[in-house]
Amino acid sequence: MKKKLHVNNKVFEVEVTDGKNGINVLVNDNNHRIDLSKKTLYGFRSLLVDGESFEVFCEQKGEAHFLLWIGHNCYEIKLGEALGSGETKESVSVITAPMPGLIAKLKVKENEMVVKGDPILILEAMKMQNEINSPKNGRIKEILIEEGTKVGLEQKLIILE
Amino acid sequence: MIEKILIANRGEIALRIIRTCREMGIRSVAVYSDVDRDALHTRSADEAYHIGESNPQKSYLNMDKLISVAKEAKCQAIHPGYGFLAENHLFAEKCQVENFIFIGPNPDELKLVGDKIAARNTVRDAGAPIIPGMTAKANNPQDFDKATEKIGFPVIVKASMGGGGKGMRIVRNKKGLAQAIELGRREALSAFGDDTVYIEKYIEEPRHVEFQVLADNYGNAIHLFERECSIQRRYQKIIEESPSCALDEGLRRRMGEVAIKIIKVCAYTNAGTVEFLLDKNKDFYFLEVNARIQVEHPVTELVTNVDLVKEQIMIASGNKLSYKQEEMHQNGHAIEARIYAEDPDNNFIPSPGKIKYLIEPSGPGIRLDSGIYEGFEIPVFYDPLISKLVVWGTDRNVAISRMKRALDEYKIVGIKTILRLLSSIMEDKRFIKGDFSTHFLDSFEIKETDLDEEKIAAIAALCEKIVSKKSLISQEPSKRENLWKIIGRENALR
Repeated sequence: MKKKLHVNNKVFEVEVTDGKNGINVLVNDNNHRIDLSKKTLYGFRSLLVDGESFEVFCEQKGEAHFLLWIGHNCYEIKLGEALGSGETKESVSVITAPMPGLIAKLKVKENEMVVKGDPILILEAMKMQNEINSPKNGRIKEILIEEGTKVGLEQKLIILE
Repeated sequence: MIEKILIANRGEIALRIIRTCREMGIRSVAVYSDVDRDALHTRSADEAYHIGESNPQKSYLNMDKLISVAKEAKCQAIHPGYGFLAENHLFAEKCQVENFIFIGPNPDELKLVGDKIAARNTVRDAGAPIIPGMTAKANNPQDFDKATEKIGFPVIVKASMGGGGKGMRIVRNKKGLAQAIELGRREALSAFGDDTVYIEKYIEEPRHVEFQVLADNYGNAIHLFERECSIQRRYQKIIEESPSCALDEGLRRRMGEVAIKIIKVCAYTNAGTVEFLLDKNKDFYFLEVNARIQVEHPVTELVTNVDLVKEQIMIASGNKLSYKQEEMHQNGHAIEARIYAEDPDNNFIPSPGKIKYLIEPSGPGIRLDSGIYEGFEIPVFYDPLISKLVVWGTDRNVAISRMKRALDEYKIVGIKTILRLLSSIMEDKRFIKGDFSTHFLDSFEIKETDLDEEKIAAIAALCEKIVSKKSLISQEPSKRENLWKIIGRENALR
């Protein structure tokens, strides 16, 4: 069965078959043969893809959502429903705390228009003042914290639309 | 005779000091905050004592607590490492009053070099080159204007008690001066508790070159050559090396002589670093003295074969220097890369969290000074430096290839690190040529991965299939966290 797979927001059409000839994966109609090792080394598993060697670590984040660590790269993998609907769906987005810390400064007000990359707030953690920037163009719909608030990991801070 | 040392620090530098203690037959005493009970330094020392809450103000910066633990554990000496209380003259004084040996300079020396304006004055009087600018505290706003008129724009506003780039502001015209001074003052006050700022000529595109020195209590001082630390981000060094490819023999000798002169005029003792800026015309200027063992000290150790921490302990014990200047040679080339728990794709935001899996590099010419292990959780309270990868090679090119190789072997899963950035730098043409300044990283772009996207998608597809199959194997959602265990079970069923 062919499936749509999002790799860092890029969509691939894939199909896995596991038969007499080992594991074969069709990616956008090109076939790749994979040899999967049975042993793990420090949690990493060896995959030979068309002979090329990869050390892969897989971390599950949710239903059909996981992270793939290969070399120094971390790929976010999601099982996609249909092609092309990725961007337009996300009209509302939530800015969450990337780490626990203290809201040192708020740089926006509710209803303010921001463009991608604009500074939204300063989060203080690990001795440093970290600027959190807007992930997209839009309007600040709701501010859920104030200056001086202590926040936890992935706590919702700002709703953007 | 020192038999037991309290290490008033944490992380990789505490471990570094423990290692030398062990080699010297000295017992090591670690201290730890709430969150550091399982930290590597706590586990590695001969003894460890709890000193308070995770907030550094309540633990690693709590002088009275540290002194009382040193008494309780019957230590003779205290090593402050770097950061925290390392350059705090009040702490050095407290140690002295309580009859502990402070492994570092004396309180008066710390006070002198910690005050940038005073240090500039002393160094200028000794005839060493300083960056043109103020050498006295401003009494009124006109003093800043006068100084600026004399040296011309651009200028840089600096905090006299400062360091690490805090309170520093570049000003390119008269219009911005007053505001920069005001902001610099405020930042300096909050960071260092003192709002004294001064103005220096801003050197365009300098290189940062520093000299390691050792000085004993008998007036002997030597230098252990230079370290080049131009690869910085927000004044934070990321890559350091020795030797510097910007120096020739003549310049190296002259800078070394000036470094010794500065150390002597400041009557400085123990290990220290004299920092210089080197401009495009190869003129060099005194920047500051770092009165501590530095983060980047291993590159000097690898090219000179001197254990700097051991020398610190020997000097503090009242011994004369073990080496003479003419015995010092630079052998080969060493590079250090600092591994920070920061996300290079997200504005270098710190990335604390649990190290899920870890593979460390090894093999020829590799030294790893690390404070982490698999399963360790990097706390949010402290510096995001988690380890230092240091390599040695017969020359700079060999060292660069080795660093690239070692970085690629290094795998840290669970948190974001700057490994990818470091690896990209090792492949950069300008870096390899040695053609860079402290602005190198301002315009640097991390090289896109050259992994085949389709193969990644193929791997992802296979992993996804295994993930989706697992519901057939295990009905317990709590066992979902490790996909590889599921594959293991699958294999067993085959």
